[in-house]
Amino acid sequence: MKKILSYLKPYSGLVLLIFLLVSVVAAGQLFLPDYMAKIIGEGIKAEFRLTTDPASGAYTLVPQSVCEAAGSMCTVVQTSDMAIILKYGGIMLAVTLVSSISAIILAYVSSHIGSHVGKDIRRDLYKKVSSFSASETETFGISTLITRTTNDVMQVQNFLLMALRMLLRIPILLVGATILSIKNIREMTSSNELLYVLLTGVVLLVIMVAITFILVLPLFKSMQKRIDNLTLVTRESINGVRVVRAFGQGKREVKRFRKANDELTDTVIKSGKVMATLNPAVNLVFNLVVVALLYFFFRLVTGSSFSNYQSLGNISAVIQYSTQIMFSLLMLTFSFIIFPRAQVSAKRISEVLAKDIVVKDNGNPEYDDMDIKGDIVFDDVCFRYGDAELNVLDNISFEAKPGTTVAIIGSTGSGKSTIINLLPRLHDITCGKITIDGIDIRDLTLKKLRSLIGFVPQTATLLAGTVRQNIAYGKADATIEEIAEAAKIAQAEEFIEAMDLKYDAVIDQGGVNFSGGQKQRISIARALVRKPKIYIFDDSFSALDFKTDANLRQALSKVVGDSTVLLVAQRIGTIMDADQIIVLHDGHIVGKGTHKELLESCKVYQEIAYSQLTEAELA
Amino acid sequence: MKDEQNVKSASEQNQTPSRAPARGPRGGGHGPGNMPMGRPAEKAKDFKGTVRRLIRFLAPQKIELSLMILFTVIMTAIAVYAPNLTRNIMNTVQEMIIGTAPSDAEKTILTLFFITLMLYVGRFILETVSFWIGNIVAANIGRNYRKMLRDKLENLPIKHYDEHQTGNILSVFSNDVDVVTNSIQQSLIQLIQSFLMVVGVLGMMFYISWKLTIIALLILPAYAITVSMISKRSQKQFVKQQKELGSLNGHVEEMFTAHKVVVLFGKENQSFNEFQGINQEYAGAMKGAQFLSGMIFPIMNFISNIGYVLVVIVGGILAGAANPLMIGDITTFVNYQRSFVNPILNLANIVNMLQSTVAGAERIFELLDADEEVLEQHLDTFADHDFTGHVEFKDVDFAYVKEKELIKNLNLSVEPGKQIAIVGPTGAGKTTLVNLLMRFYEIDKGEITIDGIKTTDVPREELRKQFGMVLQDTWLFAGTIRENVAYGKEDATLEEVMQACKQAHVHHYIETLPNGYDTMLTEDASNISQGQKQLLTIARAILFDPKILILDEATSSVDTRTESYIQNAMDYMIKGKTSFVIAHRLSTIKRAQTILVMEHGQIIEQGTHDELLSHDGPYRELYQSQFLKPMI
Repeated sequence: MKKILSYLKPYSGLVLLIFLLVSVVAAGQLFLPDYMAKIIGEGIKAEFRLTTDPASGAYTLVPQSVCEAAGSMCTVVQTSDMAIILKYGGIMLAVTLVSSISAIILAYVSSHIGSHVGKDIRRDLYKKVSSFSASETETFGISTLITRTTNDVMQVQNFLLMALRMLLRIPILLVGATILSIKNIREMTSSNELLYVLLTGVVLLVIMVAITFILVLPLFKSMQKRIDNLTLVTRESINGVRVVRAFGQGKREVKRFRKANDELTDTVIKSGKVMATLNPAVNLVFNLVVVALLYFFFRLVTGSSFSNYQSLGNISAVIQYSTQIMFSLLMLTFSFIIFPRAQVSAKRISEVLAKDIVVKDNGNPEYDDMDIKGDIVFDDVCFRYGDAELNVLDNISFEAKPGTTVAIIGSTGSGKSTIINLLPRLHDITCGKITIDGIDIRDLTLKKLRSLIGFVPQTATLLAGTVRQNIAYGKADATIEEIAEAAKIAQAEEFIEAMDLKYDAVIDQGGVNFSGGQKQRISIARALVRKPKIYIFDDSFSALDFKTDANLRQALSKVVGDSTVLLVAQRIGTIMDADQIIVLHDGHIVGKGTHKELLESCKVYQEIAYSQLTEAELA
Repeated sequence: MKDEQNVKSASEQNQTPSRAPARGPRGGGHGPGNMPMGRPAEKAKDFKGTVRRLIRFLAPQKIELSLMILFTVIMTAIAVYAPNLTRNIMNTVQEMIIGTAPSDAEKTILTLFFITLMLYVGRFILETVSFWIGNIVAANIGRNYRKMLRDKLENLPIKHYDEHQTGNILSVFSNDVDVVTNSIQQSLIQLIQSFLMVVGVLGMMFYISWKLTIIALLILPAYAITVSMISKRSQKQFVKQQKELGSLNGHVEEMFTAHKVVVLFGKENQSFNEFQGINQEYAGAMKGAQFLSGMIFPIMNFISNIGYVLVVIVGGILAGAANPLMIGDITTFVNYQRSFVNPILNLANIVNMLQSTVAGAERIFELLDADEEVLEQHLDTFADHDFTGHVEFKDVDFAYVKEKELIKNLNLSVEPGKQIAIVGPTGAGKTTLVNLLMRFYEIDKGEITIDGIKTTDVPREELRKQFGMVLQDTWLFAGTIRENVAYGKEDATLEEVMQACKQAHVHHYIETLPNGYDTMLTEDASNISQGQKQLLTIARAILFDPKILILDEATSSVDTRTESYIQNAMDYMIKGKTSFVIAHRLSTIKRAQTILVMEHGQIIEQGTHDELLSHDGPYRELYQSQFLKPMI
């Protein structure tokens, strides 16, 4: 939570204003009962009229004792002093006007702060995630990063708004109402019974609220967990419905669900019980306090000699203040429900913001304008993930010269994709060195490094937009000719031209309106339009059928020219003609050479090759 | 995940049933909703019908609910009447001060105190019991609804799952059930309470002083005008806010998912700028919405206070009138006046809430009413026959969508123990064949038989037990590795699990994990690689030991060398078993005893690899393209 509160700093002036406004609003609320007491006390009087002349109705005002002695000659008449009543009434109206205007300004300022703090947090989260390397995104997982940037920020925002508008007011009201009650009691009497009743009531209420808080907070936390668990179980069953039914595990999944459902309901009932007791209990204590106050007031009146209505005004003020105290405490309980969730959200946000980025951009901008040829050297490179114990890659050394093609082949988990992910620094190596044209890639700025590379990932990811926009993602100022050329080489021209809107055809979010093969070809075109110095194909052709694969490679061979090509593939046919083939096994290079050389010398390569093609085909 | 399973290409997309669009992001979620004031309410399609149905659903709880209602009525009556007692007390005390009190005043007062005390204690008891009942009733209603919905899911055909987004289905379970249970627990009580309060308090106010009541009522129109004016504007802002939120969520989701691409092409700044634009818009819309709805309360308060002050002033004046108002009268009146406004506000809110509730209930009923699978037939059983695995398709027709034909007049005979490879361009109908074999979808015409037994004559569960399926999309659940591999066979021993994993070539990997077979997989099994996931699903199928195998491009993420090891294990497993393989891999295809080349739902070629090569057909073309002089 502290981290979130620090987001208030840029708005500290406004926050101070809020404190001020809250005080004014609370003060306004506190004044009114006191002034009403004054109106009653000073504005309403009992006059004891002793009739002097029954005929004319003339009378003189006498003290109460005299009147009692005079029997029926004396009447009691209640009068009101217009001037005083109007005076105090006017003050009350003015106070309420000021308070209300403050409340409206408060609503505005708090909305401003709330929405802007939310905006700032989202901005920082987005920036942070953008700068993540693959290790960091893999640590969290994409979907939780999305949730944290959207839902969790909303939780925190809601809580902030509520705190600014409601919660800040509560301590002021509690303290103010208590003080003013004591003042009014003191005006009535110097004895302490009323005081004890009031303070006992207040203390009792505060204790009750505190106990509820302690009991309920862990329950709400547990409830949140169980809600998440129920959602998980349900989601998995829905997403995996084919597998569930194929293996006949429907009953088991339902059982899983029922267990989670029952657990959740139990917690709901438990926490509900606590809250269900609190409300009526608070009401009861409050009512008892009021009755007690009245009772002791009644005793006071029978025991002493009041001569005016001041005390009536006082007691009604005290009762109204007690009401305010009770309402404030009840408002506090509303926050119990929202607070735990906001706290959890705040923690999740902080985790992301505090994450250390491994791949840092410390490049030398001097290299930015240098003409790089693309001579790649891996020098005794090793790599392991964050806190893993074993290296995924070990002793990786090879050179890829400009104008040549280097293919990488190997078993699952052998580290093929990992190697090429190291080149654009999606991860940083653990030991060794990777250089391009002799320059360590860590000495290049990330911008320069990545501008040299045209990368086609294993699965094609396209963005919502037109085909043209997607291909032009590789080169911002690409002309339509360049785009068309790239599409042609990528074997995408045919299906693009077959569409009504051609290059202006819209790709939906997630690319669902295009087939895997089509998406892959657009993804390839995107890399091609860049005309980069280094091409990297991460098993990019497996989504294409054999014919398209072959045509594409043929077209590609004509344009790569002096660039370096790194190619990861599974099909021997794809890599057979590479200038150099690197065979990986369990993170080590077990073979390096041409196809013919490896067929003779490398056992792993032989196994792969013969599992795919006959001897004749391999010749 | 699920999406990729059956949405293969643009053309096949047209064949599969269309999906309902995802519903917008829902704010609030669990727990008490946000201040409904100023927010536009959801409208139900058939209000009356849904309400009637809801009431019927609540029938089993009618005793508890009636008790709750009864208690609420009594409680509210006490709440309305009790201040009147204090009024009498104060008035009598006032008389005592000026000495005009009757002689038995003290006794009267003490009696009043006693009655008041009893009423309050009684109210406490009723309130607590009522809330407890309400809590338990609501929680159980929630539990029952969720249970019913989940049970319903078991009877829904795969078609329903394909046509509806997971998020929307989940939303019914969480948001909609919550809204309905909250309503029952809170809105119902509050509705009765508020209504009775308004009537009761108004009555008491009149009883005390009709003149003051008129003054108090004068301000009511001011409330109405203010609220409606502000609500109109704030609703517009809320709608705008939701729209911007949708854009924001969409952008974030897209950019984070495409993170690797953004980074590789150096587009971080551009995507950030786009984001900031939407972020600003959203913040602006939210600020407007929050401000406008946040203004309602202070303004209402102000109007209340004006009323309060007016009443105090006029009350003070009336205190000096010929038939004077007592001070107790004034203070109690003011009390009533203060407690008069809230219920009116509550009533407005509740109307809103009820609309949302009924809309939510409607969605629940929609799901509960969804078309179920065709009923099970129990005309035959595999147990009665010797199983050989002779699969036949006879004159089968099928289409996802009536107008878009997919499979027409398919005839296929698979001899027992033979391995069938299915190849063809995307959209050809390959996964559809699997859907039909497993009866995930029902055929429109014709029949599929296994050993002469129609697949529609046996219960689905029994049919599916014959098959072992390994899908391209790897589904594992959040449990231990052992649980996942033993998914089809819960009573499998650890040795059996290990054996299956050894054959799937994943045992060694599992042993390198800190907890081995007890390692917990996270949600979406994100803590292991795609390749390992695939091997686990293969192990799972091996352990299941089915009679007929379906491999749906299962091994495409696995390299050919490991695949060859698996092939050995599979060969052993396949011995004598019929298997269907949808493959892209030449090696797999070459091993098959029969290859089916499909296109547009038709089998256009059928034969062994050598036979097909010798024809000058589509297969030969497909195969040959592997051998154009590779350039790289």
